[in-house]
Amino acid sequence: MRTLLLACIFVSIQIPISLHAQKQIDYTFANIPPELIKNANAVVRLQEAKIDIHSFKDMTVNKKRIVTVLNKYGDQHTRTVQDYDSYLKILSLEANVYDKDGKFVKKFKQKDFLDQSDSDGYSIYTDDRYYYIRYTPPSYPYTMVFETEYQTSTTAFIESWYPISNIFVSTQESDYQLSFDTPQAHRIREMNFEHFPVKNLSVGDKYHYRMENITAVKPETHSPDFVEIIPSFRLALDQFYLKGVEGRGNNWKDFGKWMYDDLLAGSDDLSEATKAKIKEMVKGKSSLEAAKTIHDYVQQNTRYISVQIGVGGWKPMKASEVDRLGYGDCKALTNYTHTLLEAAGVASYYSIVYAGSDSKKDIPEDFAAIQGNHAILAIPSIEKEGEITWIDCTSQSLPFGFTGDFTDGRDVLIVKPDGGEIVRTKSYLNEENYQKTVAECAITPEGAMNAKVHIETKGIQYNQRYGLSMQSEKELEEHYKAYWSYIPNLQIVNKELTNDREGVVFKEDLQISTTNFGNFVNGKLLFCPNGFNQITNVPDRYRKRTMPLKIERGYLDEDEFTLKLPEGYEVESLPQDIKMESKFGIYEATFVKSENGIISYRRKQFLKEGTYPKEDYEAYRAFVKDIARNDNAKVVLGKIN
Amino acid sequence: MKKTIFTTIISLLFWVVNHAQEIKFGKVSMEELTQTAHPVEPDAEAAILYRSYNTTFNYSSNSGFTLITKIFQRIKIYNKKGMDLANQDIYLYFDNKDKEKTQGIRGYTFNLDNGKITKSKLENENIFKEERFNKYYNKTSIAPPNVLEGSVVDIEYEITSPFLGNIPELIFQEEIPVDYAEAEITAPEYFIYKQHLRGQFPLTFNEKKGMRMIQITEKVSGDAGVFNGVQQTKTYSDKVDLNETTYTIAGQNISSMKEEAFVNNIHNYRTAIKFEITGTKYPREPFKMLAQTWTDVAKSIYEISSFGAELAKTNYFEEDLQALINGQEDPTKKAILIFSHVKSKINWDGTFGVLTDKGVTKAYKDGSGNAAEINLMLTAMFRQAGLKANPVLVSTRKNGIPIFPTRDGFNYVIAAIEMQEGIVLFDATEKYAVPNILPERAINWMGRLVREDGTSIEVSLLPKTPSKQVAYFSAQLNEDGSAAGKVRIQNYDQYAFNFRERIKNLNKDLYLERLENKTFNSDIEVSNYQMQNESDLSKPVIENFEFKKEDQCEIIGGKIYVSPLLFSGMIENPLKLEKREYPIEFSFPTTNQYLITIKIPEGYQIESVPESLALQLPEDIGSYQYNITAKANQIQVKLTSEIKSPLISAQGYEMIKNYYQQIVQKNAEKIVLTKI
Repeated sequence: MRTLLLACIFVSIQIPISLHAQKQIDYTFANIPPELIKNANAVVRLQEAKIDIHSFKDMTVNKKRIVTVLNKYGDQHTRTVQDYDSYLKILSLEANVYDKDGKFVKKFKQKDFLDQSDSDGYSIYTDDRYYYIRYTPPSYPYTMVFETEYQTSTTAFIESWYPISNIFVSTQESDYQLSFDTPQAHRIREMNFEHFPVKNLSVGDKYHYRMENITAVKPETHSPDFVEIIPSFRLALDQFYLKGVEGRGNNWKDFGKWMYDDLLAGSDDLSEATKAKIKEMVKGKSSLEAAKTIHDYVQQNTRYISVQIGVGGWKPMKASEVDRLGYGDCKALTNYTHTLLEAAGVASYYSIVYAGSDSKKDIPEDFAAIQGNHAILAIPSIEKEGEITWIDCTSQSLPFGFTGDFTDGRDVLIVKPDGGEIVRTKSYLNEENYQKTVAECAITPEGAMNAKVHIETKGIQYNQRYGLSMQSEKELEEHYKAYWSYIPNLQIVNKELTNDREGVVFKEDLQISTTNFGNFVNGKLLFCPNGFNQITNVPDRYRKRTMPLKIERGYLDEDEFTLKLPEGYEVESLPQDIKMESKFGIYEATFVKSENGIISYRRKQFLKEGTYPKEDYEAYRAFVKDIARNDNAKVVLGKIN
Repeated sequence: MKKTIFTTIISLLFWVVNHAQEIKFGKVSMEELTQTAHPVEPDAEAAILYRSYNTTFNYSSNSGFTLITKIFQRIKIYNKKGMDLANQDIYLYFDNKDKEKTQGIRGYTFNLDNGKITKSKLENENIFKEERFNKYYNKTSIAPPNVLEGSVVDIEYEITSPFLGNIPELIFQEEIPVDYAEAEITAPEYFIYKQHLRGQFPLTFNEKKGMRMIQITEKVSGDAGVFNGVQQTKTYSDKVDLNETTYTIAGQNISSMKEEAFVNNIHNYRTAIKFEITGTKYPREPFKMLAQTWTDVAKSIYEISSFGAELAKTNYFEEDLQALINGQEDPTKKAILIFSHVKSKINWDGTFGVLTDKGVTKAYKDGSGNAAEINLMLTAMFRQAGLKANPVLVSTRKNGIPIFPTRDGFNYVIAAIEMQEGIVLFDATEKYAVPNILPERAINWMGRLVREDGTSIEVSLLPKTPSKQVAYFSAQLNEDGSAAGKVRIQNYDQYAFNFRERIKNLNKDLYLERLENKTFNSDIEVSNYQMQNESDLSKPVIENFEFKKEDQCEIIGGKIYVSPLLFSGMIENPLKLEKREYPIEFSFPTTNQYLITIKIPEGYQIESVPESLALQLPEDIGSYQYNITAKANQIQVKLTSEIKSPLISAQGYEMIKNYYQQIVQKNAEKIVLTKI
């Protein structure tokens, strides 16, 4: 299946042997094969990495990157950046610029690089820093040659091989070599090699990969995460060093054990007073009730502050500190919640995840290494073996047991005292992401409209909506006017928002009106019975779709609208009932006219999550387009004579 | 001593401030803690209950004067959204000699625990100092402990600064309500300040004279110290009476400010006060004027070598220039030649500045430079070619509008030539710029044209005539509701500039994808796409293409309904919100024209077409004309919509919103076709 999906996204091209033969890199723009220019903002002429692992706590990395930049969007791909910390020593750092004819223009020595805090934008403090240069060329194209060599004791992260840099970037040559001074136990992970012309020149423990002449691709909507489809090579040592701390493990069980013993254990300290307070709070409660009480307590009594110092980037702050300060980052808050649960006699496990709403990225089951970007907490059920309640202790507002689209449906690492384990988080599948809209609306003879609308959302749709309860009047006005952008001149007369945290249901009750619900055309009144839940966005059309189609999350919407017609008018034309079914979902709409001047409109729209070959994209687009057209179907009213 | 003169900008309103004196650092009232929502703005996530700035000049015989600013802020957190506002980031400037420092950071977080006030002290572990955060700043961050919903947080600290001229702007209005804010600045007689106020909220203003004694120590060497043939250094120590002026500015119940659409820079409307140093008068030294009038600004900027001296340099380009304009007599042609030369030779590095960074010579050689390097070089070449050219100081949109004569208010330079027909503006930072068409960042109110002789004039940066876009559509409708035809879009002036800049780096396929999917109200299929005059800047840039469109028409009950504007025209009101606080600022004046011809399908006739409509905004702000004619099997539409004055006051909001509402309504109307 994967092969089918991935075929032909990236095209590798054949070029004359003569270029291969001469090892000297030619910086001239004119000699880049034209296929590599197409869709490219930058061409990676050469990407070279040489990693020498001297011991489990000593490694030298030598990198060279030659990029011909074709326009200003390509500047970022020169990657003239070298990060460092107190465990990493930069041995050499240099950049040289050449013009489009390959003529030398400028040299940057290490002292010409700017030195700056590696502030991630959300940490209040971090001790990571980086060197970088900012170069403005007199004209494009130009070529940047960037070379760096560093030595570090942190072997927990070993430079990986990603021969394809990004979208809009082509690669002429990428070469990666890794070797050991003395043999070290390790494991590797090769991804997507089968779809690409990767040359594997490895001999035993000496890894050597090459790839050449890969064209650039442009992004497409509804496609898989880019790094999931490109080739990569990663290596991790069984025994390694992480910012001065020794680590070990070659599978998740052992790796998790090390994490528990060396990073987590001992962080679960708590004053007797707090312990007593917690015991008092959960007295007489079941373990799940107790967990909920503690979750709510943490939400009310802490806030998110990120401070990253040394190994603290991976080791949570102590629970007692969070208890005293009332803040911490995701690791600290997770560990704190875990510790409070412990005091209440409820077992829970610190877990590591790749968080992100746009795509569900797994921690790979077959490759144990430091990874992930977020911590959450797993509370195993005592009643039901294998059932887990997940909580995201960093969220200040999500209900207990609901982690939402940030961490749903993916493989995560749970860290138990006796070792690690890969487990899948709760998935919110298709119809679980539910929205029901009920509206009662009256149309006036002038084409104005008053309506009462009730919207209920569950699952990921709840996730997308519950934040409204925390917004200001102005933000709400903006939201509803954008949500119903197809209702001109919308007035929000009244609104009531209810966040049912127990049931994980968000309820919106609105009273709205407009002076222009319908349009008069030659004495007739035209209006759209689906006034309150229209699909207006059709995915982009591509002349040539290259990526597979990915529908990240499915959903189900059900709508029931009653429309009271104005006095003196009768229905001249009513849209036809429709039912469409495709492999992507279902769409149904019915229009019923009753005697008392009311039109009842019912609609059901169901979309399934899934991944489909690129050939299906056009069919999917047509399906959504049909939905959009039918959502916009109009009723024609004429005056009663 | 020269007396400081207060400008009349400050409205002196005398009302009693009774709020302030009750607030003391570390002492909180039950009332403040029990408050669950802000009394005036109930949906505020937090509020500044009190803030004071207190700036004094400290004197020490070692380092002379240093500026000490004591800041105390009390903030109330109402809900989770406001939590981050309890933290503080302080950026401290440094250069290779001196640096700003924080000291005396103290703080408390107050909470209610079962009706009892609890107090958590800010400790060292809550303070994070980061050296060399970047090239210019160190950073101190404060994360107070135990901040909950309902907390009141007091933070107090001092910033000492050796950079005397630099009293930061004092902000009185924030994104959250400010209940009371006060600034007290005590300046010794040696430093002469002028105050400039921005924003709408009234502040009270007070001035008080005082005196204190300081010990001044001075080392004097040289002639005065020659004694018995041996050169000596003599130290004088003196007790000196120092006259001081204390300025107190206060405001209360200042409402929050929130971003609005079509505001260039919300900061322009923020209530704030700036102390501008206008001169120094040290003992035994003459009064030194720093800047006070526009003449001073003009003169003083020419005295700065990275402006005046850089502008005077010519040797680096003389040869090239000679060759470039050799034999050319016509001033306009000369100007165009030089402008093109600079645009093609130098790439803008994306940084602003009224002063050069690496210098014009190096910029010319490297082929890259900042705004000052590029446009000072341009001005110098114009001058060398005998044109009456001068630099124009500009504040970019992001930088806001300068409210008083100051060099600091400007962060960008362009060039101007005084021609017979008037002043023509040039900005060579963008490749597709043409005379009098500036990039949007530079179109900000007024620039200041500075001449070498110290005179200067205000120059409007806003284009005087509307920029034009004309779109022609011709379409054949089909019985199945689809349409096909041709489109021609002509972009002039600012539209042409923006269009060229937007597409210059875009891959053609990607551009066509956007044209098909995003440019119009709904997606179309494009073929035979052609662009004309992409790089001939003297002509409008023109796009020609053919289109196909499914579902152009709706077929209801055997009749065809179709929009006379096909897939174009405004269909959503850009102004949706009920209330407006700040003026509406469109980027530049515009004229948009649509000329549409529609042929109806064979076997159909026109049952009805919408009525023509003309709208006119008062004071010649803008107008809209919708003319439609139908004959036989063809419909013609001519739509012209014009905004002549792109700045509209907040009072005019309702009017302009209604204007757009009528346009949207008109544009939604349909033609009806019936079968013969």
